[in-house]
Amino acid sequence: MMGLQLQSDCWLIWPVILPLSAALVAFLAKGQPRLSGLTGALLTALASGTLFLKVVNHGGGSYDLGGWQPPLGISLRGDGPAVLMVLMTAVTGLAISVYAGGYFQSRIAMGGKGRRHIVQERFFWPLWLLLWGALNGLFLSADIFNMYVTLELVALSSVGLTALSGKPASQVAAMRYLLASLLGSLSFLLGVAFLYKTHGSLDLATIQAALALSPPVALAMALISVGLMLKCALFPFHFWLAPAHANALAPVSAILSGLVIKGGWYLFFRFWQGFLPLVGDGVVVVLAGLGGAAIIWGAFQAFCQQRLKMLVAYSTVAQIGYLFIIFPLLAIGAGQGAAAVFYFAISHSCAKAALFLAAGSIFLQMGHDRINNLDGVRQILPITTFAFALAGLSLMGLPPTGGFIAKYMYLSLAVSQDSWWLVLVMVVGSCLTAIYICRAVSHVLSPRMVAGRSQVVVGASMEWSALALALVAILLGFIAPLPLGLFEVVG
Amino acid sequence: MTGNESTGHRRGMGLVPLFNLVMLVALFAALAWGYLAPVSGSSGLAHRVDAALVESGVESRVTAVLLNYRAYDTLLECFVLFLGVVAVWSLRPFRYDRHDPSPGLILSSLVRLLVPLMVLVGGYLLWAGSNQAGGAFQAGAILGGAGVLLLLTSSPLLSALPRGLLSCGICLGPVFFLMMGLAAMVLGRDFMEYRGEAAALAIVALEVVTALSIGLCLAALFGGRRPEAGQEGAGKAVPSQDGGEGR
Repeated sequence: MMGLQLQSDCWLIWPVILPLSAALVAFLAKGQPRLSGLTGALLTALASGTLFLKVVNHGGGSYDLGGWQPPLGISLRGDGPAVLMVLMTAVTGLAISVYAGGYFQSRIAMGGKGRRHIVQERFFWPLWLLLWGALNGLFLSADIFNMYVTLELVALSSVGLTALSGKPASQVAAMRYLLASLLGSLSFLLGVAFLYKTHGSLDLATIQAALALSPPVALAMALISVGLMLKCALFPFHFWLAPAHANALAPVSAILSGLVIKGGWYLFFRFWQGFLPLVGDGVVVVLAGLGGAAIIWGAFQAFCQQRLKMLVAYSTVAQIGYLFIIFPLLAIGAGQGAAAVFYFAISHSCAKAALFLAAGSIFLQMGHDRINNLDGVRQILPITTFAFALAGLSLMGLPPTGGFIAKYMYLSLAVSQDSWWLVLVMVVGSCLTAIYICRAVSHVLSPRMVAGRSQVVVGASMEWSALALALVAILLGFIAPLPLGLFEVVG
Repeated sequence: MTGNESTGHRRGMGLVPLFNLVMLVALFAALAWGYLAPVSGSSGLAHRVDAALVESGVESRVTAVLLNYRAYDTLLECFVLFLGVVAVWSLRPFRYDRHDPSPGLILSSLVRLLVPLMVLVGGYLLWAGSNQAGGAFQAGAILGGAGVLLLLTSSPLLSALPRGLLSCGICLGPVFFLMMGLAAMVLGRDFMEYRGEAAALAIVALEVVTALSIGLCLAALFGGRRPEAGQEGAGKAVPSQDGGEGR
């Protein structure tokens, strides 16, 4: 019986092991990084999809690594939210990988300074596959020290990817990102140490079952929360995000904004599931207040930007707010609130990645991304422009997109609990989103023609992968019951 | 005028360290508060570690935790080191001129004496890991130190070694770790499940290989740039091999 159980659950390790192995292969295959990278991405996506189907059909499971049961060993836990995040990473990651293949092909074909793009591509694939494996490990981990290790892998590979473009701006941004991220990791690790000291275990479920408020636990809570807020750039800690995300290479921007941010937030959410019953309303309102401030401030900043990629990056600052204003709503209607916020995370991941990919194509074609000079891009890049507009719709939360479903669930929860200030924040935030998206879209859709490169340098795979992601963000509005049912699945 | 500006400047500068000081004191007070608070009823995992030691294949608790109970963490840590090297190599090479092209007789003779000794010490630490403090990471650190010494004195040993070996050596640790884990699965066990006699062998093999790879990664991190980017610098800035394989 036990053997059968373990056999079926060994699916849990492949989404972690495969991308890590592929990263090694991509690093060693110096001549063919694209081929090995794309193969690795495809295999990883397949393994993630298989895991998802297993969990949908047979329910969640867990896998004790090395056959040692927690608390002595480490186990992987595949429950509904975890596999949904793995699937989200697989869908977004696969599209980004296809885009990256085309992107580097175009860049190398365009020539330019020496072998720079060849070297960039050679290191892009190992770093990105390591990041992918680390993210999957983070989502599936059930052990708080192991979460720290995966968080470190995620942070270091993200910093490496950020610096890859080689521009001074991106290197400065990468350095800041590194320092902020390391500080966050250290804070998280201190929190983990305090939790181990009080509970004598590193298994999150064991700890959460025995959690009681005491000085070390309160301190651990504060340290872990602040560390993770730094990593996902919640409002007062958002200083590092925009330059890092906006100055990176196009596929890297999509990876950072669409996926990496969700890693830190996911851990925050997992920990706070246990912390919520311990804390008073005041703390939760502070969290939601920071989220609300992020929504307003990020949207305002996005509106003020002159560059398209900066606009999209500040929009991420704003959207992170939505991931945090859910906490007061979680305290009462737990199941529904969790479903809403995960739905938001997933649809944001697809929409934001699509926006960044489209913005990257526009940048590559035009040679700049000054919003005011982007008139008439649609004549040159019709598919990309369409993808940009569609993803923008999902971000605004217009029906029938995934963003709409998520925001609708948020609003109905907030109304049912009489949290009118949250309703107000969300409505204002959505209006601001609509304003800054429309500002960008009105330029790229404008019928006026501008002088630019006469030759189209953006490859078909770049255009279609961005569109595919935007379509997934729309499609999420139609298949809402399917993922929402998954939140009941426990590990 | 200038005086005013400078005092204003100084006042502004004075506030930042003061703020930092207050925050630091607050942080330490909070940490002390959490640390000194009495904890009831938690004894850690020591007794569980001891109880399972017979199955783990080693006598040292630390080694058992690192390479058996929590081998998955160690696997990921190996990937962290590998990632560090990949990330550093992905940066554009940083060019700088060394001030002392020839290390001098004393330094190079000393290094020639020290490196074999360090390899010996590394090997001893590796061996000691099975029943006392020591193990792959400690041995790797010593080997890495030997590699750093060789780099600093631009030893002819480095330029004599084939370059392709370096990339392979850096991947070696994670690759071997993964293969051992998968081998356990092929034999019908869980991923990374090692028990009893077989565990002892597996752990020794893992320690030897990862120690070499860790030493190489650390030396490569010190070297700082990817090998082919430093063509013009000949073998000087190329961290080709550490002391472990350099003999």
